[in-house]
Amino acid sequence: MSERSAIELHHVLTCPCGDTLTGATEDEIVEVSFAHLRAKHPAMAGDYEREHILAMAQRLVAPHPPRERRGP
Amino acid sequence: MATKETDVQWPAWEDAAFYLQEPEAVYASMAAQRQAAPVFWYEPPGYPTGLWVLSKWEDQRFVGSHPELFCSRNGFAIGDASDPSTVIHQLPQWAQDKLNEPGVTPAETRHLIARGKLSMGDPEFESLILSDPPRHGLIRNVLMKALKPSLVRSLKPRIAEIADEFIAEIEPGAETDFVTTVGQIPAALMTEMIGVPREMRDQFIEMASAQMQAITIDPNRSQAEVDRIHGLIEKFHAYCDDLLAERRASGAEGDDLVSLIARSEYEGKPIPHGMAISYIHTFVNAGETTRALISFVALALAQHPEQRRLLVEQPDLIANAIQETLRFSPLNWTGCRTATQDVEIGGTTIRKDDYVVMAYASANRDEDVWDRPDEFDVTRPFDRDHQSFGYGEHSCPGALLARIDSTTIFERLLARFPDWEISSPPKRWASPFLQGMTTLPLKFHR
Repeated sequence: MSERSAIELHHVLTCPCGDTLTGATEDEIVEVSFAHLRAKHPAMAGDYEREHILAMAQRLVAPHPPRERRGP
Repeated sequence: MATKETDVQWPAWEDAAFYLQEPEAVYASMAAQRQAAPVFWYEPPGYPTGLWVLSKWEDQRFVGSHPELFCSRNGFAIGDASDPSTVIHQLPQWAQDKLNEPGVTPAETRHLIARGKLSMGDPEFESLILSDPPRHGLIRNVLMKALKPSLVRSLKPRIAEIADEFIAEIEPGAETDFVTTVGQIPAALMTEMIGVPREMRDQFIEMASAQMQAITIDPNRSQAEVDRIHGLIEKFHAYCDDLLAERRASGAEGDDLVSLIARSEYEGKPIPHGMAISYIHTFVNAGETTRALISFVALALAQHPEQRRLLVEQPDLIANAIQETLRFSPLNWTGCRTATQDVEIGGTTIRKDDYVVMAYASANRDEDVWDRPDEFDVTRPFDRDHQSFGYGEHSCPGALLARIDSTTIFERLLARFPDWEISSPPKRWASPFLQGMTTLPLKFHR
């Protein structure tokens, strides 16, 4: 098991297209996900709301030190 | 074949016995090939043609994200490339007739074997797993209505209730087979989501499990076993037909899958029979694969008590432990595609119509992607996904449900039983396609 004093969680969303999106906070994962939708799935960008994004996201262990967030 | 450096035998990808070795031996074998020949032309003994094995995470992501280059219609499992003479007796008559026509190509042969084993009697059967865009998207859209994230999230309290019912039956200190007790929770949930009445639950699961057996085509299966499986599948199809007819007659207003199918349309018409059965299969199979997933979680936590204790202290990490188990013990060893044109991967040219095996279990241990890949670590960071739910258009539509289901079950189980141990060795399935267990004897302690 990795050594760490405090285990930080972040939000991870695997888009049905397969891409993995991450955000440190709820606001960030929503923002990153909308950016991904606009860039990769523009025809579907209007179909999702914040609650859909948060319903699909998981809270998993974040890399330490935190990496830069991954966008679309 | 063995590498000079390590003398480790490379995988016999098509051979069920290979996967029944100790996991350390299986993964060492995969690692040896991954490091020496990440794009490998393999000729399984007795198979009419060879196949490409892709062992690296990056190469599999490429294949998954390019359905225009790698299609799904010509087979999804290694066994689909078997010599047809060894498996034809397991297929329905319509598939046998087509296979016996002159001039059937290897790719068409795989398609007929794959569709035949899934469809059984229905030549119009149409499956998500064997379809390609744009049709794949149309088929998937109906299914995704039944798996809306908001709907799936709302199921958590009900999953907890079902879990508590099953967990209450566990006797502390007594040997309990996890697979046939707690392991039934996902299938029980699925039958509710499908819309099967409670009193039919056990019978439905038995009929439906025959479909899972049929998916893994096995040249060594006896005729008696083939007949038993076919008989159960016929009953299963007949029962599904009755359920659909009943829902259509009663207005189909419920949230269950059968009601959704009954009121949905495809190309302006009611959902065709073959597609409706396929949707129900998908749900049933999800119950069985989630049973396998939670069995591997229970096994890993029995083998790593310090990590189980951490989850008791920090239940927030349970979702991460599920993710790590999916990486460490994937439910699909492999998945397959067919090249639609000549494509270069890793400096190797894969020719049109060649069969391509994505070794998911190998990608999940790829040292270029995962730190300490052979360690099970519930605190492992995840900022990229494993290959256990596939990638791209064919990624598992029920992935969110499987994760919520599994996480909730272990939240309830760990709250009631913070400690358990293995009381007898588990028995695993013998399959080059899916991974699972038939028994996992445990003793639970409070």
